[in-house]
Amino acid sequence: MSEFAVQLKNITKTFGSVVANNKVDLNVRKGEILALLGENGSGKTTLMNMLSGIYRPDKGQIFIDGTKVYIDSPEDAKKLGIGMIHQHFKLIEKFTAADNIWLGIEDEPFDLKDKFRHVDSLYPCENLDKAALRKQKMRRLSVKTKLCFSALNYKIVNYFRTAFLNGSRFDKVNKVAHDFGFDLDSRKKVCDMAVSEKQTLEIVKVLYYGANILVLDEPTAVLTVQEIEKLFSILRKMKEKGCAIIIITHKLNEVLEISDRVTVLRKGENVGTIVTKDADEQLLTELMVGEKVDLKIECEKTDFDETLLKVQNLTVQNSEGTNAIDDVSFELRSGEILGVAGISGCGQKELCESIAGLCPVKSGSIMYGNENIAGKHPLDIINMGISMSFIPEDRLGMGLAGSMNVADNMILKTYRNAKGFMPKSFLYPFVDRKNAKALANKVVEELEVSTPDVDKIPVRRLSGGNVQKVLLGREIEGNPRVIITAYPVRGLDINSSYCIYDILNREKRKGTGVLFVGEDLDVMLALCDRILVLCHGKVMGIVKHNQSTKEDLGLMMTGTGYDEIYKDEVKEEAVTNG
Amino acid sequence: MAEKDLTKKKQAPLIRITKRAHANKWFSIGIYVGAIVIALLIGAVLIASVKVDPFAFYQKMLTIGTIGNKFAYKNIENFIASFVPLLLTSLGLSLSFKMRFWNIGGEGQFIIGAITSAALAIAIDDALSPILMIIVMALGGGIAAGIYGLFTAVLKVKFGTNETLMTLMLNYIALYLLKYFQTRHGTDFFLNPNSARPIFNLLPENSWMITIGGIGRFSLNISLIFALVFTVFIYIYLNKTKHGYEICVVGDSKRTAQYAGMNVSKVILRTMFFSAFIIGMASAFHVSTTNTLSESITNDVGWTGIVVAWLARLNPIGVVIASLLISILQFGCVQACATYSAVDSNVADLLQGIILFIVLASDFFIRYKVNIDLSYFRRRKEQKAAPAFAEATAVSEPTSDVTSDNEVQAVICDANAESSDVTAAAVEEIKTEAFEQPEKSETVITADLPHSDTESEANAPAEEEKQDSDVIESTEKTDDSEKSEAEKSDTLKKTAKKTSTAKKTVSAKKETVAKPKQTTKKVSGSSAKAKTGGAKKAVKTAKEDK
Repeated sequence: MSEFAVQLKNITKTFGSVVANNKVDLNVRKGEILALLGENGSGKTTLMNMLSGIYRPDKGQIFIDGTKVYIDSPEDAKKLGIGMIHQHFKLIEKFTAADNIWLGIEDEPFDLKDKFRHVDSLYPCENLDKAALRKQKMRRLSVKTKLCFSALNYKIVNYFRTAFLNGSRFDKVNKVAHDFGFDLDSRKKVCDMAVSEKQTLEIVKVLYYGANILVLDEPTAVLTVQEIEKLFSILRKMKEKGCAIIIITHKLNEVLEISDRVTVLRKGENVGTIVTKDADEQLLTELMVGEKVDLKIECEKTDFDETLLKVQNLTVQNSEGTNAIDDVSFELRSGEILGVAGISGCGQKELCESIAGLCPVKSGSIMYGNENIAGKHPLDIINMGISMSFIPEDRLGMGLAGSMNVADNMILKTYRNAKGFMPKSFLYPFVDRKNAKALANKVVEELEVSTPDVDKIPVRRLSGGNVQKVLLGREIEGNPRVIITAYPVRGLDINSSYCIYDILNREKRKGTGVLFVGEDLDVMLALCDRILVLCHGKVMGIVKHNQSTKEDLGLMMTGTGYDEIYKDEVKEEAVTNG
Repeated sequence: MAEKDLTKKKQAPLIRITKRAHANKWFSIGIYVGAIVIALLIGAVLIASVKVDPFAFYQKMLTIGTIGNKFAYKNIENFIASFVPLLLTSLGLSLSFKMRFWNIGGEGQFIIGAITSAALAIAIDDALSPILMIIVMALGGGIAAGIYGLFTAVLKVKFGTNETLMTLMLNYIALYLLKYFQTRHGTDFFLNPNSARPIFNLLPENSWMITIGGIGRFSLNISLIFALVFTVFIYIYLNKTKHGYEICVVGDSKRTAQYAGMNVSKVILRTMFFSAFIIGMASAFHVSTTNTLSESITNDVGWTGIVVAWLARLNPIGVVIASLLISILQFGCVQACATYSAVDSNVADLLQGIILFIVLASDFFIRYKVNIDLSYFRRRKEQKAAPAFAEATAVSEPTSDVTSDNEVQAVICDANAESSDVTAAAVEEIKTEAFEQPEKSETVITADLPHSDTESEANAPAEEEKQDSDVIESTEKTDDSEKSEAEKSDTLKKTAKKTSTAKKTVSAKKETVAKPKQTTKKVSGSSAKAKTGGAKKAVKTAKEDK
């Protein structure tokens, strides 16, 4: 009916005093991939949530296939063929793939009204005398009564068909998945699935429900390079079938690779839509940020040469009793950034936490100077005067107390300290809030954290980038010698990300050793001096940033050994050495 | 199909709920006060239903029966005696709630504290001076209750048990322990030796609560002073000290606390002990005030305390206000019920429930803003008036105009039933006209009128008036409803004529679309008499015209 599958017109949405979307227009054609680009808090997800019925717009209209619609709930969106794949998967871990799909299946609606109309047309009442009219009406009535019974029957049968699980659902789901060209084991439980499998399941789910408008919210954030390629090929296939696809992402290279057009949002407003062919990274960034941004990540050489942290044969078990970290050895030198690459869940978390003293160590040693800190309590590590900062992946669940304000969070590690003349900290029972506020103001100013207040607003209410800045700011204030950071830019927009990279580089120049657990290989290759690749808790190798490529790293992450990839070089080395 | 359905049914909603950015402090207080007033009004209706003047009742209740009472001082003393345990218990509970440790074992801890302090009082008898005695009782009761609470915390820390279930079950153990002491079982430690029935003995005089006399016959229970001082202490403890800071962090996220190097287990054990300690102390004061144990010693403070703590948002100062409110409610209600025997004394519980319910519900208005979109009604009217047109433009099936069809049918049925004196032929005439008309108009529209419905809506009334004015001169003097009837039949007739002659202007076509809807509605709305009269006239004019 219409050229556009989705048209959003003049959409405005406010949350309290915050304008999340301001008069946003957006159209997607059928068989087109539209990338939605914008910084954190620019309203991308809000906009898509309105399309998928989670929020309702304050003003503006939504047109699907040229028809004006009101989407009140996700149910409505589903009926309109809109399927959203959220950043955080909405799956039930303990269910099988098929059951997760089965969960949302609805009965085919039995349109009684439509059938009645049909009856009316079969028994016309026009141009009849009174007796004939009465007869005709009786006929209508009897047919309609029968229809009512059959509708009831249909409902009951359908209820029994869907309410009780039978084995055929696995085959059905498998068949549908296969028809769409996916590789899915419908009997597998979600908790046993890898991230990319979960994502595939999410896509199959919305397709099974008959979606022809797909919305993907940061689908690539948790995938490896190879998985991303696979996802993109799926998306291209969907596009050929005539689906309209909207993809939200922070990663410009992906935007350029996959999309047909790009719509850029800035501060809740649509600042422009460009055909991807005419765009490049620089242009998109400028549109997003609103000013020129230097997109170069520096990797300076520093002259420090001191071993800060020496990890030897470290083995750590996870809660299930398997080795999450298996015989890992490496050194962290001062003035360098050591990257840790790997598919998520390959032991990065355990590695960081065991160094920070939060995870029990099974065997091996972690030497800081001459002291072995393996298996020590975090308080002991703090008390030993080891200036080490751990910036955890889970910012609000671990690094910060979400319901406390910025000032209170600043003293999370130092609240025990004595104040002024008190010789021992335990003699002074009070928390030093004055100092905390001063510190908070300093951090807010230095790192340009945007927050209305340091001692009224809970940290939880700040945006992702600002939360990370608060956390990083607090850790840097302690002048650490070692910084361990896990996914410091996850979920952050481009501007905040580069700000974080700058801060890390500044620390590196001061002679700090940084352990950087990351996911974006391009960034890691540009930022880190060396990259350690983990696969299932084992070190596959440590490569220098200027001697490796993204593809090599990707292969190593999936289990190919360093020696295998660098066969020739290893041989050469062997020759020269031998 | 689904899309079409949605466009038909779904409208932008009347009420839309949005989140508030920041609730103004005074606004929230206003909402709470408003909620309490509403709750009291609902209570007033209930009280009035048993033929008691609710305002007199409330006056009695809110002044806790002091006005016009010779023994007003007694009332205040008793009120304080019931207020202090509630205040202290709520404080203790809010401490553990702050750590998100769901201690709902206030009842049990209170009973254990009471048993222990009573045992101490009986055992020590008159060996200590009254002041020391009360201190010993408070400490003893506190420590016993603390250990009772600590038990749950240890299990939680060691084995990760659910503290809610544990504390709940321990309530019953404590209660039945108390009941056991009230039976003749050999030791009879707590019982009155002079009584044949097992009743609790009066405690020795040295353990009686110290009061400060002075203001007439009223004497102040010193536990009130202690409780208020203690409130300030808890406020400082929670908000200013390192321990309070740790409680907040642990309550927020245990992982964060671990990360910050806190000993989470230690914090949980310490806080839980402290929380139960306060409750035990409250019970010691209570035992010393009432001078005896009893099965209903707790007066349900363990439960009510949970309500108070949540009403106060775990803020110690708020706890004072909330517990004061609840105490007045409970105590005042009992007093008022003594005067008005028609009202059951359980009304206090009822009112408390209503207040709590409404206050918690009013929370919604603090967190969210309710926007009412009044244009909804206008839109709905438009939508109702327009479906024939919308259908016609959207789909060109001949059967799609069912709604208008049905309406016309309904009208005819009406007319049939009510205007028996109208000749059958005339009715048939209207009927056929009515049936022909929508179909024709529909085809006309689909052919050459792809306008929006609102446009035709706007145009129609004006034209209607203009065209009607010259035809219906005779009906001008009749009343309004009759006139509208005449208009209706007129237009019906006219449109019928037009469709048959097939010589019409575009504007007239528009009219035909909008008319039948409006006119049919008018018919069903107006009185039967007017209807029959109008129908008659319509038929007449129609005949004349022909």
